Amino acid sequence: MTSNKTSDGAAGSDPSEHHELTPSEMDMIGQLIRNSGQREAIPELVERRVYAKVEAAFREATAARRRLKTRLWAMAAAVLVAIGAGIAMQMTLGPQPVGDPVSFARVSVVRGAPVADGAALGVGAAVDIGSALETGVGARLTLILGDGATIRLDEKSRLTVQSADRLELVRGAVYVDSGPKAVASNRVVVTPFGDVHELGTQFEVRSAPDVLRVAVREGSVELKKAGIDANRLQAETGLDLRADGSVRFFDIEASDNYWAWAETMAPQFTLEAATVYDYLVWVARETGRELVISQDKSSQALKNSQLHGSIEGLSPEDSLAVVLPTTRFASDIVVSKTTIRIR
Amino acid sequence: MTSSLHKSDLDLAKRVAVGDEMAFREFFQAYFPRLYRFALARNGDAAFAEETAQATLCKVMGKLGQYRGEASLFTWLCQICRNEMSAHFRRANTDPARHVPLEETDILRAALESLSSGMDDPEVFSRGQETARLVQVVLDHLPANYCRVLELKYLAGDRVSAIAGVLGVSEKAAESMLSRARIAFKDAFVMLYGNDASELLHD
Repeated sequence: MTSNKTSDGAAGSDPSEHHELTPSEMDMIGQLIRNSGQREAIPELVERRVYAKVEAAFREATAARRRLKTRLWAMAAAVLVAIGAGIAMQMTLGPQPVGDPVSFARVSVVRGAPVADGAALGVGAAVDIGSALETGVGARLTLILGDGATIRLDEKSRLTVQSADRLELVRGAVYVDSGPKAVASNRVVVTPFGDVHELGTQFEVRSAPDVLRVAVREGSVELKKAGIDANRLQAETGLDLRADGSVRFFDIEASDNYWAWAETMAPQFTLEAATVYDYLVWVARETGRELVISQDKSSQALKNSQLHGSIEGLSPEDSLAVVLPTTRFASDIVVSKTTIRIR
Repeated sequence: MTSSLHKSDLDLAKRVAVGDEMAFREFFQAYFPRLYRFALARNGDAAFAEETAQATLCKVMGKLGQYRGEASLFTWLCQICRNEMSAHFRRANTDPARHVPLEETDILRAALESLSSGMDDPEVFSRGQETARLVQVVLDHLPANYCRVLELKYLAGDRVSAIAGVLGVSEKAAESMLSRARIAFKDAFVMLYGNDASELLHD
C-alpha cells in the first residue's frame, strides 16, 4: 500500500500513484459503508456539556496568553491608586440602572450580531416590551434593566419580552443576575417545560427540545410546572427536566467553568474612581468567588482606596492581573479558584 | 512530507491559538464529533468517549500553537486522545489487556466477518456495531468532500449523475472524486488497521 498526503489532507488522493481498486475491493468498501450506516450523531446535551468545558479551557488559554502580554503593560498602565482616608467617592457598584420608563432595557454588551425583531442591535440600543431577541451562532447579548438587573442571552437563543416581569425563552439559554442588592422580584422565565420564578439571584435557564436545565449560581429560584410540585433550587444546584417528566438534580459550584460564558458577557465595570472594595466585590460576584476579608481595618482600607484608569475590553477574570499589581494591597490579596481572600 | 502539506489545518490551529472565537467554534464543530467517535470505537462506552474527547480538547487548547502541520490535525489530535485513553485506564487501575484496541486486526477480521452473518445473534450484532464504529472512524479520517461523496454513493444510494448535481460538478469529475475517495478510504483503513485489513478487502 502507498499512502501519500496532499494539501487537502487526503490519504492517497492522487490515483495515478495507486493501483486501481478491484471490483471486489470496491464492493467490500460499499458493503462496509452501507452496513455502518450514518456516522453516529453526538447527543445534543453531550455536545453542549463538552462545548462548555472546552470553551472554558479555550478562554483560560486565551486569558493566560493575554495575561502574559498585559503583565508588562500593566506596570506602565494608567491604573493608579490614590490612597487616603476620605477621598473615596461614593460609587455605584456595577452598571448604572436605566431609568427610561418606556423601554424594558438597554443593550450593554454585544458579541456577534444579535437582533431584535430582525433589526441589528448595538450597545446602547433600547429594547422594548414585546421585542423578540435572537442570537445566532457566535452571537451573545447583555441587557441592563431598569432595576439594575442584567439579562444575558447565550448564542443560538431566542427570547421574547412578554412583559416587564415575564420573559419567554423559546430556545437556547438566558442568564439572569438580579444584582448584589436584589430585592424581591416578580420576574419569571417562561419555557415550554414550566416557569422559572426568580427569587433574587444569579441563575441560568437553558432550553432544548428534549430537556430544560435550570442552574442556580446564587440565591434561589422556583420551577413551577402544571401537574408537578414546585421545585425550589438553592445556590450551587441545578436540575434537568426531561420531556418525559423525569428530573435529575445536580450540584454546580458558583466558580465552575460552566458559568464562563456569562462572565464574558458581564457589563463593563467603571474602574475610574471606583474603590478597590467595590472592584473586588464586582469581580467576586462575576466569577463566582467568595470575597473573604479577615479584618475590619482591611475592609475599611479597601473602601478608602480609589482606582483610576480603565479595564475596558477585559473580562472580570483578566482584569485581576491588570489591576491588583498596581494596588498597595497586592501582597495581601490571595486569589484562588473559589475565593478572593484579603489578609 | 512537510508542514505545508497541511496548511489549512495549520491555519485553523493558529487562529484558535491566538483566541479567534470563530475559529474555535469551527475547530470544535469539526473535531469533537470525530474524536468522540474515535474514542467510542475503543470500547463502545459513551461516557468514556465523552470524557476522553473532552479531556483531549481541553488539553490541546493550550497546545495548538505547538502543532506544526506535519500530520493532519485530526491525526495529531488522535495521538493525544490515545494518550488520554491510556491515562484513563491507568487512573481507573484497569488492566489494559481487558480493553483490547479495536485496531487489532483479528478483532477487525471477526467484525468484518459479521457482515456476511445474520444479525440475530447478540454477539454477531455486537460485532456489527463494532464494525460500524470502525468504518465511521475511517470516514472521519477522510477529507470532508471524500466522506460526503462516499456517503452519497453508498448511504443515500445516489447515482453518479445525482452526486454530480449535488456537488455542482460534471459527472466525470464526480466519478473521479468517487474513485479517489474509495482509494483514500482503503488507504486510511489499512493505515489504521494494518495490512490484514487490506487482505480482507480482497475477500
